[in-house]
Amino acid sequence: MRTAEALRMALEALRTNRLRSALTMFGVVIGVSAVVVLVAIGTGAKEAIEGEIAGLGSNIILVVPGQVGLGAAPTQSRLDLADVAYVRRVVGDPGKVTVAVNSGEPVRVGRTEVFATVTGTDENMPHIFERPLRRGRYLGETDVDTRRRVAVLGSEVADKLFGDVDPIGRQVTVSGVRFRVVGLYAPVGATFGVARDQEVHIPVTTAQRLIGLPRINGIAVGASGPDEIEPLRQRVLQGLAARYPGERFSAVTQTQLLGTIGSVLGMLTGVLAAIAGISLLVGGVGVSNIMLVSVRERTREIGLRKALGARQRDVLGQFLIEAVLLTTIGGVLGILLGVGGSLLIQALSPVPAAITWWSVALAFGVSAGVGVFFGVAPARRAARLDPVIALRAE
Amino acid sequence: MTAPEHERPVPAFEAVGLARSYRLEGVSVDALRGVDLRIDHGEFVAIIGPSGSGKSTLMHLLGCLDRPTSGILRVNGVDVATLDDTGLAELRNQAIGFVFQSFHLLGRTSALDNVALPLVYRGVGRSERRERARRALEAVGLAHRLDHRPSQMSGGEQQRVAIARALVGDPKVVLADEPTGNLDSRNGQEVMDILTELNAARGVAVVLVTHEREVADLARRRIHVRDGQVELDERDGVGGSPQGVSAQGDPAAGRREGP
Repeated sequence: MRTAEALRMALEALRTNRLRSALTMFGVVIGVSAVVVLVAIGTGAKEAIEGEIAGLGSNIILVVPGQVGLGAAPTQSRLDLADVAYVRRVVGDPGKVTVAVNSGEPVRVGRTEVFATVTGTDENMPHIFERPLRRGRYLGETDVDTRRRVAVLGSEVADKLFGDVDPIGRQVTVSGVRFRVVGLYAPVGATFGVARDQEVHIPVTTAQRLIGLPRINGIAVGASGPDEIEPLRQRVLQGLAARYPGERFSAVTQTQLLGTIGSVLGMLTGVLAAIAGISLLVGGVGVSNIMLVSVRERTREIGLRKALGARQRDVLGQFLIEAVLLTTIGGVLGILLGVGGSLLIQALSPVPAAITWWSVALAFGVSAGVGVFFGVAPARRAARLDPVIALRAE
Repeated sequence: MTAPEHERPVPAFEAVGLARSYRLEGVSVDALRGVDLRIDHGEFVAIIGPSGSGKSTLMHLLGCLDRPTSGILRVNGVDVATLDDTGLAELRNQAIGFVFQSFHLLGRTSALDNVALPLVYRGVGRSERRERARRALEAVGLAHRLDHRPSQMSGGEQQRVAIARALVGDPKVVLADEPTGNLDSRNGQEVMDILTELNAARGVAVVLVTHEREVADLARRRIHVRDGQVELDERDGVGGSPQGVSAQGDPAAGRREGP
């Protein structure tokens, strides 16, 4: 029997039982569209987060005490400004090293008060992290050396506290201490859920006094190019190891962060896809079930076809093609629904969705495979029917 | 049938000691107990017997729908024991046309496509199939029913579609299992006329299974089956049977006992 003929026969059979075919397909449609949508969401989330990490500034090494990683306990910092000076000597270029002391503090102007991330840092920070200025000036070396009470505001903080008024030269009260505003950052958006436009930068020395601790939270080193990152990282780690034998420090690069987060999100996407895959499997069982019913119902037809000369492989092919047709039509509909659903989610919710060609190809391939896998048993049953018994069936 | 004894052509069917038993709930039932039989091309034979006599089993064996438990069956000179299932299917497709009591037409398929079905399994292309099916339907007087579905036709018409389907592949033999069983006498007569005409004009051997005496009487040879054996093999004497064998004298008739 020719393939075109088998295909025509199968389509005819599916058309004959329109409602049943549609309902059977529905299971596959749901499974496939779930795979496409969930993978799109997983991939979208991954891309969004990776984009945010990339927005952190390129070629930066973050040096923190203790170990960084999933499940690692946070470590009390023992680093201070002397260590920053040491790292500067290790790196060799003081301009490539900056420092951060972070603390959430209330910031007030008159009766308006906002809660902001107050970061004590130095003059190198905006260059390493690429924070463009909108007005005024950056923090300077003298501000740090003389522990001045000056501040550079993130754009959102400035908007909340001053509205349309130019904040440069005005006073803000941080945790009860008055600061003079000397600069205003251009908006840069959020990274990692960290609203960088809600930061207030003050000299690190001033911040240590404000908080009452001589410690710093971390040191950031800017490499001049991607090739320099790894050697620089090693140099800083070795330097710190020499200074504090037996203690652990972590120097995290953007690539490492990307790798860690990428693998976590990849796992998440995998889990989502697996859950969706289970529903596809259930759809496949539905196909198998319906095909068994169909074989039983059409026993006489099978007997007749065999009497007229259908070989086992003809009957097998007929029912297998029917099953595969059910699942692949369902697969195509599921892909359309999944792509449409992903676009809709993308448009209507903050959840990002990125449709990947591989998930579409996989979903289609799997749905065809499901048809073969779950169609074989019923098709074999049909093919092996004894024609004499089949012809006599009710 | 006119050939002399020493150069007889290959018969359509030749059975030697043909037996078939079934196991029903552990009990062995002998449906056919050693049948010797020879049916030549061009014959018109009725297999007649009461229900449970084994005539349907014999029919299934002759139609290559089933295999004998023991004994030899040759169809067109080919020993069916040498064929696998695929070989049997191809033999059915090429050599045998079936007509069933309950017509066995595909309900949602037009008369034309029903008739063309055997050619599908022969790998014949669509247009040629339809052309041959159309000619077969014309031959049974249904040229005006090509696109009708079985449900839109009378029982007699349906059986004529089935006959057209049996003919479309130019088989050597048409096996008809109670072809008039579901028809009233007028339609039954019409179907018998077609089968008779088919046998006379085309030389196709017709083997029909029936329990109705008057249907069997239309055949030129009647093989009576009872208790799984050939009880009587009678031929109309009028120039028909080779070497003028009488029913009782036929060596194939009822001589062999079951196993």
